[in-house]
Amino acid sequence: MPEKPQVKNRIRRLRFDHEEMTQQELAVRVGVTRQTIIALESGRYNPSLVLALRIAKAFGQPVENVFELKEP
Amino acid sequence: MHVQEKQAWFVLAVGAVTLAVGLALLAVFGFNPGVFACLGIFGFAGLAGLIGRRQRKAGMVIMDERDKQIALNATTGAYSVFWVLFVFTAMGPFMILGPQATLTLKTTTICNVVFPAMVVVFVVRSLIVVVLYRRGCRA
Repeated sequence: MPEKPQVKNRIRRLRFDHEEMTQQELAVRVGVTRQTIIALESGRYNPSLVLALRIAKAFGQPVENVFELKEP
Repeated sequence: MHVQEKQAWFVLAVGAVTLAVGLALLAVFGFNPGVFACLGIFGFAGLAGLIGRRQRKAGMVIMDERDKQIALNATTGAYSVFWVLFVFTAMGPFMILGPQATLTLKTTTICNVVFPAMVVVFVVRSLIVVVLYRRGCRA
């Protein structure tokens, strides 16, 4: 069975680059729960396109600077 | 812990109490249709809806896209299990007794089949919710 492609992200790095923004602050900005931010950072959840765009917007970055597709 | 996960644990706890009381009644009274009255305890599972009420009132996000994805996967899984049980229950008498057999059922038998079936749906759904929150849910 072929392996699924993985989506890597730099959310944790970007949070620290943005005055050590907390997970809760980011969650409130993008309209999700803190648990979802934790799941995203640990790679246990792949966001929808809308959420990915919201997160990128929260950091003032293009989406490809935040998320990266890793083909197996 | 997330609100939906807390609700799932609550339903599982109520399910465990229901099962324990059911088994205790079974041990005391033997196989008696009255034993199924213990299923009434499972009605308390409805109180799970009160969990997260405070956060909701405070305007916090308690259900986002990941939670909806988990809820959808859990509901699909639970009804898949229900469907398998339903097919076995429906086809069992046909396979065992044959197509020409006549079956006489008490009206309480229908209740005693339908209510546990719904308990199975709720418990399996809650189990899947707990597992998906632990394991992660990749959409």
